[in-house]
Amino acid sequence: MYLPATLTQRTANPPAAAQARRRVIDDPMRMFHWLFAGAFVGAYLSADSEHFRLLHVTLGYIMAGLFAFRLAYGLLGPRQARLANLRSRLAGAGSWLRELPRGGPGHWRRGQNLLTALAIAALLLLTPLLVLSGYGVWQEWGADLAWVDEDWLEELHEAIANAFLAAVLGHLALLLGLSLLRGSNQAQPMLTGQIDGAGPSPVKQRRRWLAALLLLAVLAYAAWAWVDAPHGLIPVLSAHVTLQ
Amino acid sequence: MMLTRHLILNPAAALLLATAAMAAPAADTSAGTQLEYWSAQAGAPGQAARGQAFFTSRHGGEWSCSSCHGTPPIREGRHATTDKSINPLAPAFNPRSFTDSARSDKWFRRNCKDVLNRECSAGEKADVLAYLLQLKP
Repeated sequence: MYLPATLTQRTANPPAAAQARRRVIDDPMRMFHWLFAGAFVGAYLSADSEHFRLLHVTLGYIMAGLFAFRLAYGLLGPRQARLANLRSRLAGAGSWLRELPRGGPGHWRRGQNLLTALAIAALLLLTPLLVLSGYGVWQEWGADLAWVDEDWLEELHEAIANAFLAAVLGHLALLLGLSLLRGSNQAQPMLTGQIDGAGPSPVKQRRRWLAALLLLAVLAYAAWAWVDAPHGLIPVLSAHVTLQ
Repeated sequence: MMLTRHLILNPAAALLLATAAMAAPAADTSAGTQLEYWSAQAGAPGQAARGQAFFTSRHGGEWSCSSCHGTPPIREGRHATTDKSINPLAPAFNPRSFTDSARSDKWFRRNCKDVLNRECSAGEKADVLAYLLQLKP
C-alpha cells in the first residue's frame, strides 16, 4: 500500500527535536479546571431564570464539591499541584512592589506572573464565599427577618458572582495578553498538560484514573440531582420525556 | 507577606461592608404608589379585570404568573420547579409585598421573562397591581 513519504516517516520515526515536551499539569488538575469552569459558566447563565433554578443550584453544589477536591489535592496531592506553590508565588508581591520604582525587564516579567497567580488566588478565595452565599439563598437564611431586605443574601451572592466573573475575565485577559506578548499559547498547559521544550517533567504521573473518577463523581451527582428534582433539572426536556 | 494577605483579604472586607449597606430594607414605596407610578408611565389607569386575565393566563410559554403565585395569590405559592413555598403576593396578605421598588423591579424583570419571554410593559404592571390591590381578606 502506498503512503506519502512524510506520513510514513512521521509514524515510524518521530523527529526528536519537534516532540520535546514537558508535562506540567496532571490529568486530575485539568479535569478539575474544565469541570469547574463549565459549572461556573452554566451557573452564571442559568442564574436569572426560575425554569433553571434547580440546574443552577446543582451546578453550585458541583462547584463546591470540585473546590473540596481542589483543596484536598492541593494539600495532599503531588508537589506541582500544591496550594503552597500559589502562596509562595504571591509571597513575592511585597518585594515586587518595593522594587517597582527601579523596574526593568525582569521586574516586568515577574509582575506578569504575579498577576496570573493573583487571578487564580482570587478565584479560589471567592469560591467558598460564592457557594456559601448561594447555599444561604437556597436555604432562605434570614429571609423572614424584619430588619433586613428579603433578598439581602441574594444581592450579596450576585455581587460575589460578579466579582468571580471579573476574576475569570482577568484570568482570560492575562492568558490572551501574555500569549500575544510572549508569542506562545499560554493556555496550552491547561489544554494539553504539556509545554514545549526539553528538560525534566515536574509531573511524574498523569493519574488518568483520578481524573476519570472525578468526572464520574460529577456525572453521578448530576444524574442523581436530575432524578431527585420534582420536575427535572431542565423542565422543557423533562416535560417532553413525560409526554412521550 | 503581610502586604499579600491584605491584598487578598480586602475584597472580602469590602463585600462585607457592601452587604451591610444593602441589607437594610428599603421600604421606599407601597403597592398603591407603584400602581400610580405604572399607570402614569402607561398613560392609562391599571384595570383589575385585565390584570386578573393577564395574571392567570399563559403567554405562549409553559407558565402563567399563577403557576407559582397561585390563583388568587392570597396564600403561599409554590415554585413550579423547586416546590419551595413563596410568600403571598397580594399586599393585603403580605405587608412586605411591593414595599421596595428595587426588589419589585428586579422580580418583575425576572419573572416576566420566565412567563412571557420578555419584560412586562408599564400597562401590564399597572393592570397586575390593580388586580392584586383589590384582593382583600
